[in-house]
Amino acid sequence: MLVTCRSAAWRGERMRTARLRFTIMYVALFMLSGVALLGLTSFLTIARSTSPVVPAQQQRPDASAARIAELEARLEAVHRDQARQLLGGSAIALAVMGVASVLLGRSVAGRVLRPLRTITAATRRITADNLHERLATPGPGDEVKALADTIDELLERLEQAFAAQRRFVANASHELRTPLATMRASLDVAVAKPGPVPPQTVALAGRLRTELDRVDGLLDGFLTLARIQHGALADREPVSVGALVTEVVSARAADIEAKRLTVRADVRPDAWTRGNAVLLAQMTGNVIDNAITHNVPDGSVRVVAAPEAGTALLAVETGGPPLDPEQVARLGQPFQRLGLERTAGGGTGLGLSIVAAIAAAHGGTLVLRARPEGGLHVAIRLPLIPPASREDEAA
Amino acid sequence: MRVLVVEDARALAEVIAEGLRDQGMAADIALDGLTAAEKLDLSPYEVVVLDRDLPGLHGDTLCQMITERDDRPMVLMLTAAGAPGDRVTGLTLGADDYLATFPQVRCCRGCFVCPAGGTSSRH
Repeated sequence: MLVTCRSAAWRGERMRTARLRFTIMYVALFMLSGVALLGLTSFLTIARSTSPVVPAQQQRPDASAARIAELEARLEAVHRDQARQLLGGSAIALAVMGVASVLLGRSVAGRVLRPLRTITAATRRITADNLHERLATPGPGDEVKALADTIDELLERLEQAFAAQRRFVANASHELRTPLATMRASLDVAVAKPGPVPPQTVALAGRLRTELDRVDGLLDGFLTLARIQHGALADREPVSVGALVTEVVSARAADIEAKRLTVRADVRPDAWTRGNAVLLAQMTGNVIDNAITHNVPDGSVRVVAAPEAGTALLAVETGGPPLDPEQVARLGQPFQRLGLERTAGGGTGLGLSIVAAIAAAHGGTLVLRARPEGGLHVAIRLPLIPPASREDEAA
Repeated sequence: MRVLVVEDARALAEVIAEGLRDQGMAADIALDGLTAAEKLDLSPYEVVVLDRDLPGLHGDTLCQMITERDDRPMVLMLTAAGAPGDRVTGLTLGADDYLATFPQVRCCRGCFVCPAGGTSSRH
């Protein structure tokens, strides 16, 4: 879901290094062959040119001998010049071709590495978005295709493992709910018996009911998480984030009053997104519930629903004591809580992980930050839809 | 008032029936859809408490069958599934109300004494 800028840039650097390596290798090979060719050519040419011209006639009269010697010397000079020119020209040609080979080598290296880049990008996208997809590379059965096929097998095993885990959680939670319902019903029946009910029974029933309600809340959360993570979001429609916020805040009026919290809602009418209205409502409810539950009495809550940089932003800020940034970053995981007690402040510990799951299922992100002035900042960003589409839908 | 409790978990069915009897209603139990249909044919019931996940005849189908009858009893659906869309589905099928988890018995009693046309609003 979230690929940090840092790791993406690092991966980009590694790719550039491989291309650079290949280019350098190619150029080095070329230059080596070039120099070797040059060397061989010069050796053969110069060797031939410096081999003595056959002087067989030493019986000639002196004048001819002198003339011949002079001609031989000049021939030798010409040959040496030619050799030097050849060498010089070849060196220049080598230099020019060396530059050309850098460009050629870079292009070839890029071409060779491209299938790898494609596979990397596709795999990253698949694991981020949709584990159903496969690379399914066509082409000759070479090493690149073998790599792609191996990755496909790996994705298949991954998907099955996730699915099995989700199924188990869903089934287990479902199985647990019936005995749980029986227990709660028994308690209710016992307390509602006509005639006087012993106070110990009422007290016991009350305590048990509270804990059983908590277990039921947990199971509900597990089932919700399993369902959301299962993938396909049914019934996508345009949803107004602002409207959700307004509804949740007014529904929680009693809790807000009980803690004497000050709630500032900054709701703009044009923050719309496309998604499952019920899940988005649950997400909004969870995040605002969280702000209310884990807040100090007389505390403050600020809710923002507005478009921001191409996304629909839902942000909730709470005041309070400063928080540990590391712990805050982990809050999106199930059962992570700030502070020591497992059950401090009530709640199932699943609220924010459900928010994270719903945001992810809608192609959005959840960012949690400890505010420097104390308290928590929760920002959910969902894909923004332009006003035109929502009007079409509403019509 | 006669109530038919249709729920495949026997212990839960018996608890519900006991609670209803404590409130002065006559309660019968059916552990699956087919038995429920039989009992509905045999005697008149004013209310049916219906679990959706039933073996044999599925709760949804049974609900639709019930709503088609002339002497249509009021139907309260209860289930452990509790998916957000289930409530709408349940009500669309003709249930008069939908209880995602078993509510307190007091609420049940309150539901039943509503006039025939009214529906309760808990959960």
